[in-house]
Amino acid sequence: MSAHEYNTLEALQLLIRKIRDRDDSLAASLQAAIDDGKDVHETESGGRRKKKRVYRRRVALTHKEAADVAIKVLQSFFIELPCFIGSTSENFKGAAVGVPPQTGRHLPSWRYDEDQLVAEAEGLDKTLEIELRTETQILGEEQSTLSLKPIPLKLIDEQRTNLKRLAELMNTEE
Amino acid sequence: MIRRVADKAYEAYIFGLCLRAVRELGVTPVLRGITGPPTPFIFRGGPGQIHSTSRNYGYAEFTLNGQSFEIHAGVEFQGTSGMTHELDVCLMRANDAAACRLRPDDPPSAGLIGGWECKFYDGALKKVLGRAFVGLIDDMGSNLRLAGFCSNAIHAQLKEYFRPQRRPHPHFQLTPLEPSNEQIFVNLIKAELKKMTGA
Repeated sequence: MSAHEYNTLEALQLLIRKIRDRDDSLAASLQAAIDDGKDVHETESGGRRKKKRVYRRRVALTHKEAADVAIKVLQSFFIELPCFIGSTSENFKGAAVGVPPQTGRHLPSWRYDEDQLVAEAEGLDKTLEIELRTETQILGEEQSTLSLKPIPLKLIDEQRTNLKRLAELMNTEE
Repeated sequence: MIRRVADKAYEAYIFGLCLRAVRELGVTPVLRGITGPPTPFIFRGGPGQIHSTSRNYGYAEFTLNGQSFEIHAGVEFQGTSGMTHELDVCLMRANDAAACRLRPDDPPSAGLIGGWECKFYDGALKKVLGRAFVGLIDDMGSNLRLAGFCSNAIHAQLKEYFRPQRRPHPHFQLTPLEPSNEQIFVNLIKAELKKMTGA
């Protein structure tokens, strides 16, 4: 008897539907991870004289396994991804910013040798952005770039708690 | 959109680990932009050319024992076959990079020292990515000293696939949550740079 009024499959379907309403690409990632199935090793008993043979077989996940995979994907996005941004931010902090010297010449930045540049901002936070609308893209993204801002640890911890709770809710087995 | 952001953020993370390797060698990498100071530092959203000035794309430069290098993200190289390939993150000789900015061209694979494919976990790692990267590396000539397939996930079959010599190094579970894997990645870069420059 389930502890909830729904089963794991229903919970999973609801989760994917809710995510799809917010972000199609995330829902697609979840779906793909589940649809990927898993490898199992089957044993073929070849009769009395033959040796047993083990072979690989691709099978669908159980509902419980699919729910676990879904949670894992969400952890990647909501816990690991902020950690990547945090680490990137920290590693960029230790680098300097090369600023061309203030002269009357107006050359593109790259034309100056490294030793002609004024190195600034070592040890300071840097503003990092990823390009959303690429240089060859005519249609699509409205926003041209997106800032990679570190996410406070407190918020990451909150997400950890949320996902733990979600995993408990999705596990309908007693 | 989060899917796309995740992939790019993972590339940025690997770029950051390259910066860390340089710093651990006692050198401060200098961030540069193609048109001006990299404030902000912009990561390409897709494969692009090293000389492109459509945005102020960022890269890093450093000099070790008199030899200058650059770190780039999302830059296309010309393979030995003449075909162009994008490397998510790469380490190359600075003079080759400068030559391609001065006389706009795709950098030749001869100037490439390290190349990394970066794949953020999206459920399951696709085997095709591993195969494609092996093909790409094969077309990059013999000067390439470091090649790695980086992911926050793990794939048992791909790990085996990368095992033979001359295949890219599998950097699986490369994430801040696994600091020892980060250190392996950083140490490989440091060792190779030391070997090259005698630093």
